[in-house]
Amino acid sequence: MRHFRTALLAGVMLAVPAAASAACQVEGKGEVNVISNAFPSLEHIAKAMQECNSDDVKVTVKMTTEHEEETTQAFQSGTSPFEIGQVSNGSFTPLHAKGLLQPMTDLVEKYKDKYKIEDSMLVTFDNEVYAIAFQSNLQYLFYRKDLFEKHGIEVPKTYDELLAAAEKLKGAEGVEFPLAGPYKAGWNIATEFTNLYLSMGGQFFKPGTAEPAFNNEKAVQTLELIKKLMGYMSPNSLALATGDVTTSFQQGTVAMSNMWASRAAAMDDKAVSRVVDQIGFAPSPATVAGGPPASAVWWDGFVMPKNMDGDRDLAFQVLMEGLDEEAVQTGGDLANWLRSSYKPTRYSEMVMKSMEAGAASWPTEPFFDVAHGAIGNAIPDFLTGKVSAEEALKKAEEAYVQAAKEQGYL
Amino acid sequence: MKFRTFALFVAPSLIAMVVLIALPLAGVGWLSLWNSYTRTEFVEVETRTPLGVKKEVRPRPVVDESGAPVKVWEFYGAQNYETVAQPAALAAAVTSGGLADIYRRVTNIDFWGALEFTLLYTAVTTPFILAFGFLLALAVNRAPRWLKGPLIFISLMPFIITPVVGSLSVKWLFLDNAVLTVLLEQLGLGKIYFLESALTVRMLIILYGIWHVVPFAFIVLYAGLQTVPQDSIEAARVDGATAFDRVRYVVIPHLATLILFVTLIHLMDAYRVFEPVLVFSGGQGADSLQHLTYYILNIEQNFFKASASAILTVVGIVLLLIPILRRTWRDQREGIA
Repeated sequence: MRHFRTALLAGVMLAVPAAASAACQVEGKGEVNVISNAFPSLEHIAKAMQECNSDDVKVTVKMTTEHEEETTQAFQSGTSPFEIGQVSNGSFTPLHAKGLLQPMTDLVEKYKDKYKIEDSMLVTFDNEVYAIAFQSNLQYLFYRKDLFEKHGIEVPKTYDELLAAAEKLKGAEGVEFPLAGPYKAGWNIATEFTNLYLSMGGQFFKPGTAEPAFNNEKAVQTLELIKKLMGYMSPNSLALATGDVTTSFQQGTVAMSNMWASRAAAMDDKAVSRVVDQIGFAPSPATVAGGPPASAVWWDGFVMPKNMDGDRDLAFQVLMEGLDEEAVQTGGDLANWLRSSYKPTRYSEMVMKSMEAGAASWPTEPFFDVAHGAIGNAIPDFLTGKVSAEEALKKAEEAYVQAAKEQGYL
Repeated sequence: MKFRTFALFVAPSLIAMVVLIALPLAGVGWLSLWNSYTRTEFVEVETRTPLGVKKEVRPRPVVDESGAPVKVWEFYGAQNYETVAQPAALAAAVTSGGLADIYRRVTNIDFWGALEFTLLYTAVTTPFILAFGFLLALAVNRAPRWLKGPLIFISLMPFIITPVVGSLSVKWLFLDNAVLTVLLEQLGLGKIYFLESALTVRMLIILYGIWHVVPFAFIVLYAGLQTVPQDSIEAARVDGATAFDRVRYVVIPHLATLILFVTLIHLMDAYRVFEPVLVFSGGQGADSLQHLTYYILNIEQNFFKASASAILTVVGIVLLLIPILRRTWRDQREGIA
């Protein structure tokens, strides 16, 4: 009962708009509604934005992992219920290509000095600013330092070395499987395919068109490599996503994985991890010796829809309050922030190193989403041995062509 | 009853059905005949992102005089249905090769693969749910009075839990080092990877389905048991009928309409199985029609094609129910005569 009362009290306190704190200085009156994904750095930003709540300003942030679908629907409807939406480079391009975003160039000019907006945070198309980015993210190699030392294994730089290391670690103490990966059928496995295929120098589309170009020898090699890697993983892998792999690492039952940077800090969380300080980080290995790491780079940022009816000036100020220097300083561990004043931590430095080593950008064609979906749907049947690599790729290609036609890209 | 009185009585529910069921269904049917997208043109643009500055050829929305993006509407007719059901691919898949090969090729087409598991799920879960629900009802009916309340409450639990939550908690029991996996290993069954093969994933989904819906059959049949005329039971006993005979020849015929009712409702529900498929397999190894619609809506973000897929699901349910509806219709007419 006491808990209930405390919770009720906390709820009431949240509902009462707090007086504008010294941390937030915005001019204007009205409502600002934000929709975003839910992960640690975004929670931090949401808190900073909500500090702007006052008698004149009401800020609400809706955080949901289903934000992509909801954002698209909201931005396509008559009037968007959100003034600000969070995007990644994956979801940004389809929104932009459908003409759903409004330029923020004038607002950036106006507030450039006040919020110290840096060029590295701007996403522009033909010199018009369409998004303000705040972090970059990618997958890199997590490995067990203690086991590597004990078995005399060097940190692998290529996938051949990674496979050799995996062979050595078979049956090592406590290790059930040398490798793990977020390989869940659908989005996850398509993302791993993208990482590896880009690192091999593969292309998804014929340049300058939406014509598919991912049904080829390199794609077959990519699929065969994934199958080889899965030989060292839990047979359940096609059902395991990022959260499940994080748990396996924390339990100490796996030794290596190409994992999301945003999960690195969780390895050292004493409350849930048995491998505190035992996990080393390195850029993802390359598929070809001397080639770029097999990891595509993402950025996350915020956009404004064309169909909003709120005060865009106020919305922009609230947004920048969430992304100002103070917010970055207090959220150091949570992301690889894009501001120049940010000093990378043990968890985020590999993001920089991977980018320096030439990690490719996540494909920016607005129709890549469609191809990614088709690939994620078709290739698991190859990995379980139901169809051949060629059959799986052909199916993905056909599904992509059909969907791209329906969306008017082909 | 005068027609006017009758009409006044049924009007509210008729209006509700038209507004909440018929109109949306007609709307979905109408949408399924169309396709729409924003017109784009490929232009060379200079893009700047946190990852650098590039010159790229990218699609850009075509805008009209007022600056609004141009929306294209195309009448697709049956085209969306064709894209979903892929009759041509089906025809090509069944023309040659051995039975196993035909099966593999047919189920590799998304729609037909999803239909296969949907029908399998429906066919396997229905008899189990009826049987277990009935046995549970008989058992609880014989339990001491003070125990009945708690037993009913516990038996209803699986049905009360939200399917996504229920599926997730069951899945977590069967993951790599989860409670049940470890338990089975210690019992000497070896380590089983339940999410590895289509066979075990399908078993899990079906087991979950049975666990989830048995309470529904139980509570309906338990209520029915309370109405079994004790005279008939007594008479049967006097005639020398065994306990089994009494159930077989008195109780079951008495519950026949309820059994039909449970079957009807479950067939409709089972054909729309979605949550356990989403949670256990994500469509891998075991897909369902409802999950396919979700994929088209969420991943491809195509309302029009998703509408066609949804209509095909409704048509499937209607086909499945025809035999039962015909029987009910016959029973009703006989009842009147």
